[in-house]
Amino acid sequence: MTNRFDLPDLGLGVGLRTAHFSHLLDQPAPVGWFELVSENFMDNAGRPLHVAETLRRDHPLVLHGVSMSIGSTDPLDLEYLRGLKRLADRLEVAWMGDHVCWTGVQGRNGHDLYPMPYTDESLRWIVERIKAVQDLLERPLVLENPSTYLQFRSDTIAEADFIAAMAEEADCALLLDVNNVYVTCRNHGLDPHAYIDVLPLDRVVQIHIAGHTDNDTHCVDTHDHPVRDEVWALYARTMAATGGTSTLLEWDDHIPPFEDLVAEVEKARAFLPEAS
Amino acid sequence: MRAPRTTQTQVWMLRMVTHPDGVEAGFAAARDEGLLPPGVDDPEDLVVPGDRMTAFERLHVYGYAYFARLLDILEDEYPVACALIGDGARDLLKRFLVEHPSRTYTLGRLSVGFPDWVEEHAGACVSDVARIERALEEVIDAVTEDPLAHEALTAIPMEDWAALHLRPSASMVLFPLRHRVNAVMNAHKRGEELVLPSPSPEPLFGCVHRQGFTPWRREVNAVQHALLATLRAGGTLGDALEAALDVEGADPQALLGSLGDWFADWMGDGLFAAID
Repeated sequence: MTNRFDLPDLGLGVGLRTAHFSHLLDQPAPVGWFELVSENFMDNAGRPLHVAETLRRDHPLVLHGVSMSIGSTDPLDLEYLRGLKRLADRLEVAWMGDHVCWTGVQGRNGHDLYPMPYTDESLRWIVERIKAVQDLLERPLVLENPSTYLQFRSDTIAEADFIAAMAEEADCALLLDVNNVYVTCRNHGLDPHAYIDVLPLDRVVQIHIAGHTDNDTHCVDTHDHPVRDEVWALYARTMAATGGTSTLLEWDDHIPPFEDLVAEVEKARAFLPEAS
Repeated sequence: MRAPRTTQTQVWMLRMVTHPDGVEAGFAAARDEGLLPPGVDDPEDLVVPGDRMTAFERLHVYGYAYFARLLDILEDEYPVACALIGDGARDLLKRFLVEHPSRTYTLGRLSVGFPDWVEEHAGACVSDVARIERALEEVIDAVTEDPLAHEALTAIPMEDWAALHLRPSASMVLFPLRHRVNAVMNAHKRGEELVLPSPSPEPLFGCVHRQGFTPWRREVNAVQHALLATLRAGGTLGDALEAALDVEGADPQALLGSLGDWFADWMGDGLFAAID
């Protein structure tokens, strides 16, 4: 299955992190592509941008932000969106996106990916916001399912149904984070396979894999471990269903040497369609 | 379009998870401030509990993450100021965060006001250190420029120098200091005991810039500051010299005797980017 946006399968990639800058400037990187946290490069004309522009010569880049706050009921931040577009144009990124979440309200920013209330009202709200942002950015938005640690009593729609409806109505693309699916479902007693079955996979242009921490009472999306077997299982199922989708390993804390990062993402190769 | 119920949910949640005394106190505050839906008197009216977590425990995941993440960032930005403050540093940072919550999409602006704020709470010397640490953060993000080669200046006949626009690096930041805190910064870097210096009897300024991707800091006196500030404002070398001579107590003979060494040092450190 190819995605309906005709965005390419970039193969296996990793998140670009400061800890690896020197390594990546010194030697070729044996990965297919890099994902950049948008905000780490938007207001920075120093070393991060230099590294990104250097890597851009040989690798596709993708922007993945954490501050769009697409679900917030505050006005859209035009300064942010214009800065994001400038960066995307400068780096000629393959695509760009953020999360199905809100990060602040009434002018205050909590700098976290807070869960949406899943209601008809919030669905209409986020759909209109996505359409407006896509018009401004002049490209489809690629939105990721979040890890959530609570559900609102007022919710009337299941998260996966909300995201599926949002994607269809706003005509946006999806980034399916299979680790987030696992964490969210574990935290709320849901079936992760059923969650993925609900999503319109022809809109999925990218997959995230990552490690999480299981605190027994709940799981946290810590990005500080190798990918766990239960997440690989979800990944395998998803890849079988999509026929191959750009896959990215996220690792944000206790970051290992670059070679170890490559070795971890290479494990995904066993689940790629051509391997089976 | 409006989304009143979504707004209400986001407002009470952010109030609870950013409350400095925890989500229980945040719930009470939200209730007292009229932020909760009518009839809500229990957190389980808002958040669905689970088999292993109460509603408060679920909210606490976000509350813990808010302070942990942002306080870690502030500690990383102000390591020497925190070392001078000692055991109470994290509590003081938390007070700052509570009084100055983030209002922008970027964490790069989270602590812009910290050097001024900390003066009232930890004294002028800590504030001076914080001013340098803030400047170091800012120059990292500045535009990357090639430094001006010394030969570019010496190739110009001396009689033309007064009319030259010698442009400092775009990364250069100048700011007043009250104490010779560069020595404190150096001592911290070497792992030595930190000793608070006495207030400087002479006017003193900090100058931070970046050469390549390496930030540099130095202290400059009032005459040197006048030279650099005038050049940065677009003045000619002649204008800068006049401004330097206008500094109270400036000795024309001493100034003329030092100029060559100062400019040689500054050019050697990449403090200038171009002759316009």
